[in-house]
Amino acid sequence: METKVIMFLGLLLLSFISLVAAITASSAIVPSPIKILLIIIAMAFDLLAFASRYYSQYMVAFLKQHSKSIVLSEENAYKLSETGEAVIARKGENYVATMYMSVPLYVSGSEMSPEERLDFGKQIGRLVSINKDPVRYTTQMRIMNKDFYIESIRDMVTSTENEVVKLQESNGPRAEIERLKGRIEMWNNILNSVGASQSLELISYAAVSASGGTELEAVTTAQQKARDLMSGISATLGVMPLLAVGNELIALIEPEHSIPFTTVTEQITKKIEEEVI
Amino acid sequence: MTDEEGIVYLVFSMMPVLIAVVASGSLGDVYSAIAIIIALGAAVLLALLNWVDYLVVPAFLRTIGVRFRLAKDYGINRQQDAIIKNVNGLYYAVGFLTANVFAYVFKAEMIDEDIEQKIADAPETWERSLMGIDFPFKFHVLSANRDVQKARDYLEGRRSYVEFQMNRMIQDQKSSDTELGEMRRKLSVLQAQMDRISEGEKPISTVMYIETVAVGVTEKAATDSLNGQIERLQVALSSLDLQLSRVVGRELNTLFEFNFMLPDTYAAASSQFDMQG
Repeated sequence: METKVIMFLGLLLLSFISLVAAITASSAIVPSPIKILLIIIAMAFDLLAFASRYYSQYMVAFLKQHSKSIVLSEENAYKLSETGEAVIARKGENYVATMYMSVPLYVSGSEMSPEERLDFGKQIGRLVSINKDPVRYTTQMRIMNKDFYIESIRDMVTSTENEVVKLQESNGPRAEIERLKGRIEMWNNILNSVGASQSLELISYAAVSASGGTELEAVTTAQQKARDLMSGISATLGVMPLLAVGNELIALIEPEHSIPFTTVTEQITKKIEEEVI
Repeated sequence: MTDEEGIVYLVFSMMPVLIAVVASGSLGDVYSAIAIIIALGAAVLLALLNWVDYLVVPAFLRTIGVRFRLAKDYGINRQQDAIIKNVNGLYYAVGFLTANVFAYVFKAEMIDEDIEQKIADAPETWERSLMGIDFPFKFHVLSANRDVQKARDYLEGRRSYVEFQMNRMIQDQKSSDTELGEMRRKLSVLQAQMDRISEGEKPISTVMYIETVAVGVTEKAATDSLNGQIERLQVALSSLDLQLSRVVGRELNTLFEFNFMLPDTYAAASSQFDMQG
């Protein structure tokens, strides 16, 4: 039996016991004010019993910890499967495996004719009804992580500067030195424009979950569901979904991946500057 | 809407209240009146917990200043309206908004409306809405197929009930034209839904919501930034005829868990959202 059902029945029983005590006890033994108190207690247990439908786990934790900061769990919310293609979470005695697949859609409504837009709208309508089990479709706008790009431009600037120094030391051709200096200026301009503003990207993906008594069972069932979903998406939209694996999968879940670290530091510096000014 | 489980909880929880009212006569005049007031107060609180627990419980928790730790690095703030993640001293605040497309649903089921034009305009309207957003967010659509026969039986039951109500209104001759018009509209909506199922369209249930993330050097800075983002999302997406309301309380935890643990059956998905969805 589920914990919340046991809790509901237990609290309801306590409510009935208090109520029966208030009603049946003789007034000579239990005076009326005490009976009213017992009725209040009975009603309180009754309300707690009803609230236990949604709040049993919070109530248990609150009773155990007697604190305003209630810890429901100290463990990681989920873990990555051994193959890296699913995240696994515990739900009671069962395991739930969730798989994500990106849907590479590179179309824009502004570039479509009215007929194409209508067809696209209908395709999306069909998409949300292709699977029997619950599926979550997501369109995510996130800040592009340009750290790697910026680093590669900086590397190119440095290597080109080294080439210029070498040519100058060996009295190399002036035209070549000028050409390399022009290249450095170009890369610096690109670096400035790339770093000046944040770029956003829009991605779409789908997620499906399956539960099982063991991790392997949950992952195997999720894989089957994901395969069915991918073929459904492929048939409906005409694009081939790709399974998100490892870091790519984590990036779709964890909030810090929506805002890269360099952007965070830029934002904070900018905010401090604004506040100081 | 209260589901079957909710009805069972409500019926059992109402029993102590009824017993308290019925048995209060044995307590004497004054105490009997007090007992009835207490029981009626409990009944009102039960009704509030049944229909608006997502408002009552977070308000109570805010008042007493409780915060929850959901998992390692993750928690719910004192205001009960954001998930907070601490990564190396930086705070990421995640907030959710419901995004129910009521207007589209109703207009789609009214035969005289040009639904095809709505569908054709949707991609461009969506892209225009996104142009004003310069922070990360996710638009989620959780869809689950419903059993065709069950959906049909449910709609037939609803249609019969509405027809019965309409006949009674006509017989009583007390109802205004507006009330009768409203009943006819309900009937045409139900009929249109049944016709669509008869034409082979699969009945589906969807839960749509928006997730956004903000970052700050303190928890307050992150949540302030999140509040601003949520307000901007409400403005930017208002052109899509969405009902955008902020998710607070227990559903915040449910939506957070959806990132790594989706419900794997329709029943599990629908039981989560009888209140705020």
